[in-house]
Amino acid sequence: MITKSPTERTPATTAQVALSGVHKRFGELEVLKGIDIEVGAGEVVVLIGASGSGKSTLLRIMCDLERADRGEVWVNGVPLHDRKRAPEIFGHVGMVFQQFNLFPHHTALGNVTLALRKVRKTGRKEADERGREALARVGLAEKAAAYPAQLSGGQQQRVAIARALAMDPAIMFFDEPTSALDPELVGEVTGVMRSLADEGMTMVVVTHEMRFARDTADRVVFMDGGVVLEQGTPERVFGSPTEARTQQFLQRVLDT
Amino acid sequence: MDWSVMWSNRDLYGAGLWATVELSVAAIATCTLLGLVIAAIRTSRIPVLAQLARCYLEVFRGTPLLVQMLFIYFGAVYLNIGNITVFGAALLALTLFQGAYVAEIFRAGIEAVPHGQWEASRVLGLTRAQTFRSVILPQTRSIVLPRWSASTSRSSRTPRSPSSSATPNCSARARPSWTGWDTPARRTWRSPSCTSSSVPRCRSSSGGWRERP
Repeated sequence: MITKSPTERTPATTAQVALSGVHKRFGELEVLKGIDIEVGAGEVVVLIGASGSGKSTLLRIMCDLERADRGEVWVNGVPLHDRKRAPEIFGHVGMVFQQFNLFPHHTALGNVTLALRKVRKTGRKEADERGREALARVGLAEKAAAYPAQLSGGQQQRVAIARALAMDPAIMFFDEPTSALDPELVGEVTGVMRSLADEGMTMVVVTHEMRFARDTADRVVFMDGGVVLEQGTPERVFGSPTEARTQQFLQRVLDT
Repeated sequence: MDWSVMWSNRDLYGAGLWATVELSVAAIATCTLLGLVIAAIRTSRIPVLAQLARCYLEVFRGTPLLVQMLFIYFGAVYLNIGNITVFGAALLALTLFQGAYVAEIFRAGIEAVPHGQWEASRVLGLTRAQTFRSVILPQTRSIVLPRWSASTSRSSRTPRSPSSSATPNCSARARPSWTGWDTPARRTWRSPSCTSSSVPRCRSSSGGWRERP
């Protein structure tokens, strides 16, 4: 591996996301122990692994909700390891959370247009128009006036996806987007995610939905104990995993 | 019982009642504003300011209102700062005292909003100030309002304190007309005049202000 100097001002690759030598610890606990990962434009990468393997932390570092202790993090051309420039990323990537994090005091449309109006300074009429388009993309055009509490979990998560899409993000991050949903509602969310992937969106997804990983991912990354243990196409990782830990993990999640 | 004493002194009572209302309304407005600003600073991560806000809270929540009033009123005279009126001193003291309590109520409200709301706003590109105004603050309303009204209505029910620095409010006015300390007339007057100013606020907290569905 080529080592890059930390003062380098441009990413070494054209990848949308490029992490090298990323370390992160929370107190005594070392969560990430040197991660190197790249995500190309239009690629869908799914991170899998047991709880505590560091995949959510890795995703949160990619959208600057956590800071790496060491290493370089380039996302959409912004060096997140450079504290001065890191905030440039906000508003240019989308993040979908496990707990939706919708704004409960705004309607679905209000949620989707808030950042357009406050951050992009878009006029109300144009913002509403773009907001409705985003809601239509997730199949919720008719729910524009509903408040989050009036929507099902699946609908709320789709509004959250629309809220991110309205900002026209370069990359979409998903942090266990279906883990808080009733099983029968998972499909509508993964369906929307699949259609985004088909449209060529660059996506990094942390999920326990192995079916989604198998059908939609371009690459599956298996993490264990804070390192990337194995990665490859879904066929390769699911079909013939080389590492014993991967085999063990897959056996456990695919059995249930 | 001779109730005619009350009627013959109605001007005094009227003026006292008015002073109480005036002071209460002004103090509620200013202490709410101050409380909001202090809570915003306290929950921000601005290094020195956040600590200063904390010091203010400790001092003004830790000392009696009466002491603060005397300190401000006589302190201003002693230090020869402007010519503070009795009303001004009472208002300033009530604002600083009550503002400290209201600030902590607001802080509790702000901290009760799930952290995910900040994170979602941040990734969307909202600044901290925008997040505070458009996302966090509207959600604190239903949490804050009941305790805010309890706290502010208490301040207008402490009428003896302003009178100590000679603001002629309703309870102080009752004194010259009656010789005894705890007389029926005084008790009668004090309670309705003071509760009347707190009742509407208590009611406003009990319903109709909740989050929309």
